[in-house]
Amino acid sequence: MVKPFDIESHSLPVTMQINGVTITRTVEARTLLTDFLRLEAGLTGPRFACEEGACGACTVEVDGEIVKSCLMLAVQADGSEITTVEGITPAVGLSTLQQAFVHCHALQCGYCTAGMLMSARDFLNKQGEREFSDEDSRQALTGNLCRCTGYNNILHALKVATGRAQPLAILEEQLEPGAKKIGQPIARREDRRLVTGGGHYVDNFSTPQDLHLAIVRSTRAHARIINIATEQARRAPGVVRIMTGAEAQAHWKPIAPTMELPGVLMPRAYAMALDKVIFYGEPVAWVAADTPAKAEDAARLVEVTYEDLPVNADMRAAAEAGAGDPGLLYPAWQSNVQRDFQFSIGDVDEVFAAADLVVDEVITSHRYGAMPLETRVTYATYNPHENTLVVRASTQLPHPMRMFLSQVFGLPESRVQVLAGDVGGGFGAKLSVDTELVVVLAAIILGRPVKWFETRTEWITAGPAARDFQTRVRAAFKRDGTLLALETDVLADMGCDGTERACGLGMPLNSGVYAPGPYLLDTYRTRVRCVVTNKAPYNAYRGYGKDLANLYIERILDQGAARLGIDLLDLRRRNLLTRYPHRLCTGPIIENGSLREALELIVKKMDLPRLRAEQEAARREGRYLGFSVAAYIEPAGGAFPGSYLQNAESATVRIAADGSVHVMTGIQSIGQGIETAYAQVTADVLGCKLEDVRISWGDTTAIPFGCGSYSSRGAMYAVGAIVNAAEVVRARVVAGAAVLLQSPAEELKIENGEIFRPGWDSRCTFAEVAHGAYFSPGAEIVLAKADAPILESTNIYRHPQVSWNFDELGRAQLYPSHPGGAAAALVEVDIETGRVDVKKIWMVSDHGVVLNPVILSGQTKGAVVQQIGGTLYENFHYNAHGIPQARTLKEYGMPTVWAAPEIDVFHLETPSPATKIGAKGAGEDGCIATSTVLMGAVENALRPLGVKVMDSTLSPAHVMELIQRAQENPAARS
Amino acid sequence: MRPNAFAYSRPTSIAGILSQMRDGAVPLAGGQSLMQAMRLRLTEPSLLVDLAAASDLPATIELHPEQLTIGAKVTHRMMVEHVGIAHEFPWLNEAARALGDVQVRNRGTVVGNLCWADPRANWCVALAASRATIRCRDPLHPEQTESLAIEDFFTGFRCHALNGRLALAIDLPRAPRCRGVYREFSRQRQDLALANICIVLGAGVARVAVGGVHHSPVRLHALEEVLRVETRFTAAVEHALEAAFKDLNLAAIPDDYGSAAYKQQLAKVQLRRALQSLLNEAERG
Repeated sequence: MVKPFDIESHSLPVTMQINGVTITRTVEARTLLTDFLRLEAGLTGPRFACEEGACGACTVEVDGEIVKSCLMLAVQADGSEITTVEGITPAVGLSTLQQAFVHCHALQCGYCTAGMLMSARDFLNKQGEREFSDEDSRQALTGNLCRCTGYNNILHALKVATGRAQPLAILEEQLEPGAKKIGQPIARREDRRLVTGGGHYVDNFSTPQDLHLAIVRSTRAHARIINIATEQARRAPGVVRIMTGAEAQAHWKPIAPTMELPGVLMPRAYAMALDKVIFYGEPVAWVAADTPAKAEDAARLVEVTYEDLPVNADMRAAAEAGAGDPGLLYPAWQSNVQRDFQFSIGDVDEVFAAADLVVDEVITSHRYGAMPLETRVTYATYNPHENTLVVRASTQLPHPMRMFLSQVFGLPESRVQVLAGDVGGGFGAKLSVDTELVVVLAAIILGRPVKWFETRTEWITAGPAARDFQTRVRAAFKRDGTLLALETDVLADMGCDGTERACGLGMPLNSGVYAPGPYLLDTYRTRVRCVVTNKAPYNAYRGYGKDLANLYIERILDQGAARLGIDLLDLRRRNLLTRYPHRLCTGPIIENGSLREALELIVKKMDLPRLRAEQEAARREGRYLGFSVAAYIEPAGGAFPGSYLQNAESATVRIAADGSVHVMTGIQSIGQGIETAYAQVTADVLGCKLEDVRISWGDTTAIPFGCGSYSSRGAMYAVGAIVNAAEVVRARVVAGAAVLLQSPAEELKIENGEIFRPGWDSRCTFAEVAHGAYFSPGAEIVLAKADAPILESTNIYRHPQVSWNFDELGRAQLYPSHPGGAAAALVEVDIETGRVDVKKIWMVSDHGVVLNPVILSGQTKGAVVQQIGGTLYENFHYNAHGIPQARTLKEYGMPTVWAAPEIDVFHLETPSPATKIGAKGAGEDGCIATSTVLMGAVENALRPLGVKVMDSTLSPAHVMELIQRAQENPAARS
Repeated sequence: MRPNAFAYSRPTSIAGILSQMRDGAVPLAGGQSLMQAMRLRLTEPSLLVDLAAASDLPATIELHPEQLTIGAKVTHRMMVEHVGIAHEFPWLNEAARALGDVQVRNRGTVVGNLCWADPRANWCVALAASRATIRCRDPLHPEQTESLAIEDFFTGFRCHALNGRLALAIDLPRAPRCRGVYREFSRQRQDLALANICIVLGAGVARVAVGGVHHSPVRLHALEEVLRVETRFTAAVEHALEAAFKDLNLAAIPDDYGSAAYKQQLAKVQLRRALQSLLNEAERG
C-alpha cells in the first residue's frame, strides 16, 4: 500500500527497493524515476530518449508491472520494488531472453535494448507456456522504439527465447577450431555489455562537479535580435553562468565547416546567433546550472526581443531572392543558392527533340531525417592548468571532431581528446559538430565539467534534417524502350545551411551525379541548386543522395515503361549496363557486380506470376494490392576533396606479451558490429584465436587517426588498414616462431593461435612468440630477422579506386566502390482511407565478400524500416512562418514495431577487385531504394484509378488526396 | 526536459485531496498524459495532488444490477482484463485494448484519460457513446457528490466542465442487450487516433460518437435516429451516414495529419464498415 504524505512539499524522502537493494533518499518532488534510478541508484540501463514516453528506453518494472520511468515521479514509486535490466541479469552469464537477443542480432546501437528487454520479459512471463503470434509480440513491444534493427530480429528473438525458432547467429565457441571466420554469422560480442544495461554512452559518465547546460533557442525563424534580458534568469536557483551569442563571440571562432567543396558559399556563422536568428531553435544563449532541471528553469526566464524579418520557408521562392532582398539569409551572398552545380554531356536537346517519347515529371520528397535514439549528448571538461580539453561525444567522427574543436577554440589539437564510446545510433546525423561547440565553450569558460543532454524536442525542432527536394526529371526514349537521354533539375532545401553546420549539401549533388544509375546512358544534363531557407540545417542521412538518384531514374523508367506499354522489367533489362567495369557518363566507374542477376533473382523470389494472380483476385474483392521492383547502386566509401572524407583509414594491430591481440581502429562504433566483424577479419589474417582479439575505437589519444564512420566505408577502409597492419605483424610472428621452432619461416603455417611446420611435431603459440619477443630471450634473438623488434604495427589503407583527377568535364571517382542490387515491395492500399500497408519487402544485394551475414542483413533490414518510416510517417513539417510543427517522436512519426513488414534479404557476392578481403562496404542499401519501390508499388496498386505517384510522401492523407484527384480527373485512368 | 518545480502531496482520503485542490493544483492519477505535458513544460502546476494513497477513492470496476462503475483509480489494463466488460461492453474492451501500449495501460487511468479531454482519446469517445455520468465532488462542498452527464462534460479542446471538482468515478447504465464497437484510425497501430468512432446499438437504442472531427467528441444524433429504426444496413442508413456531418457546426483540430474533410471521411469509412458488420451480424444472428 502506498504510504500517505499529507503535507504539500517540494522535496520528500523516498525509499525504494531497487533490484533487491533498499535505497532511501530525499528528492525534489519533480525528480523523475529515471533520474532517480540513474543518479541515486547508479544504474545505466534505464535511459532517456524522448520527452513523452514514446520510446520506452526508460522501461522498468515497478511492483511487477512495466512502466515508463520517465513518465513517473520518484515520489510515486515510494515504497515500491523496482526491477531494471540490471536486475534481470544473472550473476554469471545472461538470462535466456538476453541470450536470445544476442543470438538473433536483435540490437545494433543498443540504446533501446535495456527497455526493450524489460517489455519482452514482461510479455514472455505473462505468456507462460501459451502460444503467441507475432501480432501478440508486436502488441507487447508497441511502447518501445528501435531505430536500428527494423524490429524483425527482435520479434524473432522472442520466439528463440521460448524455443519456438532457431537462432540467426552462431556463437564464437560454436565455430570449428581453425575454421575461417570471415563470412560466418557470428553473434556480436558487443551485445554482452549492451543487453545487460551497460555500454559507454555519454550520459553514463558523470562526476559530482558536473554542471548542466540548457540552451535558450530562437522562437522565430528569421528575426533580428533586439535585446536579450538575462537578469531574472541569472538570479534563478542553481545558476552558475549565462552567456549570449554576442557575449560568446570573443571566446571562439565560427563553426568549423564540415566540408569546403568548390563553389559552395559558406555562412561563416557562429554556433550561437549574434544579432540575427535564421532558424527556429537556433541557439541564442546558454545557461549552466547545477542540475538539468534548474538550467531549464532559468533558460525559460531569459527574455529575447525580436524584430521579425521575412521568412523563407519555401525553397522555390527562396531560390528567386536576389541582392537586396530582405529575405536573404546571408546578404553577402546576394542570393539564397548555396551551390549551383551544372553538368552536361552529349547533345541533350537534340536527342530529346528526336526521341519517340519524352517523359517529364517532377519528383519530390518531404523533409525527414536520421533520428537516432540517442541525441547529441556532449560532456566536456577543460583543465586550465594543463590547457587540455576532454570531450565525450555521441559522434561518428572523433578525429575530425578533434580537428574542428581545435579550429574553433584555438587549442592545439594535441591538447584535445575526443572520447566516443558506444554511440546510440548515427545514420549520418552525427557527422557534424555545431551545437556541441556551445557545450565546449561553457566548459572552457567555467573550468568545470559541463554536460548537455540534447532533448528530443531540440533535435526534432532544430536538429539535422534531410531529403526535402523538388526535382524535374526528363527522359527521352526510343519506341523500343531504349533510354536515350536524361535531364535532372534538382532543387533541394538546405534549411539554413548544408555544409558548415552540417554536411547534407553533398546529397543533392550526389543525386545529380548518380541519376543515370546503372543504366546505359551517354547523354545527360543536370543542374543542382542547393537553396537555403529559414529551417534547421541539412545533414547527411543514410543513403546520402543515392536515394534521391534512385528515385529519379527508377521512377522515370517506370513512367517510360507505362507510356510505351513495355513491361517495366523488360525496360530495365534493355537499358541495364552490360559489362563491368561500367563508367557512368558522369564519371564514376562501377567496378563489377551482379545487377542483372540481382534483378532476375528478386523477380524469382517474389514469384511474380503468383503476385499477379493475387492482385487480380484482390481487385475482384475491391482490395488494391500493388508491387514494384527497382535496381539500385550504393556508391560506397566516399572521399571528397575539401572535407574530412579522406581516402584513408588507419589501424593498429598489437600482440601483447601474453599473446592477446588488440586492434585499434579509427572507425567509430555506432552499432554496426565492428567489434565482431573486425575481430573476424583480424583472426583470419593473423591466424590467431577469435577470442584473443579485442577491438577498440573512439579515443583520439589512444587510437590512430581515423576519418570516422560514414559512407559504408568500414568494410573497405578499416578492414583494409587492419589487414595491412596484421600482415606486417603476422610476418614478425612467423619470424619469431621460426627462431623458436628452429624451422625455416617459409615452411611455417599459422592456425588457431598456433604456429607449426606441417608434418613436424613441435609447435608454438602466439603467447610463446610474444613472450619471447617482449621479454625472454628477447627481440634481438626472437625477432632478429624480422623488420622490427615489436609485435605491433600501425598501418593505413588507401582505396585504389578513388581518383581526384578531375577531367575537363569535372568528372572524377569520389566513390571507389559500387555495391548494388535490387529491391521490391508488395503493398496494399485502402482506397477509402489512403492507408498504405507494406506487406513485404525483398532485397537482393551484392556488397562483395560478406564479413558477417547476420550483421549485414540486420543493417539492411534496419535501413529498410527507416525508409518505410520516412516515406509513410516521418515529417519535419514547417508552417509558412518557418515554425516546425512536430515536437515529439509521435508527432514526427517514428516507426514503431507495427511499421515493420516481413523483409527477405538475399546476398550475392562479387568480390571487389580492389580490396584485400573483397568486401565493398555496406549499410545504406535499405535506405536507397525502399522509397522508390514503395512509390512504385502504390502506383501499381492504384493503376485502375489512374493514380501517379511522384511525391515520396505516402502518408494516408496524401495518398487519399492522390486518389481523389485521380477520381476527379477520370481521363487519367488506364 | 524535466518538469517545473512543484509541491507534491499524497493525501489519504478524498477529503484530504479536496482540501488541497485550488488554482494551480492538479490531481495526479496515472500521469501518462500529464507527465508528458509537464516534461514538455506545456503545463506547469504548482501542486500535484497524488490520488494513489486515498483509500476511499475507488480502484475497482463494479458491475451493479443497474450500472457499471469505474473507479477513479481504475487503469486501462484493468479494463482490458475485466471479463464482465468484455462480455457486456465489448466496445469498452476494444477501446481499452487500442489504447497506447502495455506501459501506458499499466499506469494510465480511465478517469484520467477522460479528464485530459482530448477529443480523440479512446475513453472520451467510447464513454460519449455509453451514457456515462461522471461522479464528482466540489472542494467547496466536500460532503456533496454531484453527477455530470457525459453530454455536458466536454467544453472545448482538452477542456471539461469539472471546474475544479474531483472526479470520483464513472457510472454507465448496464447494457445487457446492446452491441457495440470501438474503432480508430491512426497512422500506425496503437497511435494517436486521427478519427475514432464508437457505436452502441440495442433494441430502440442507438448511440454513435466520433472523435477527431471537432474540439470535443461528437454524437451523430440524426444517424442515431435512423439506426433506432433500421435493423439492416439500408439505403436510409447509408444516406444518413453520408449526411452525418452536414449540419453540424464543427471546429476542426488543426494538425499535419489531414484536413477536416479527410478526418470526417475517415470517421465515415469506419462508421460504415462497423455498421455493415454490426447490422449484418444482427441479421444473421
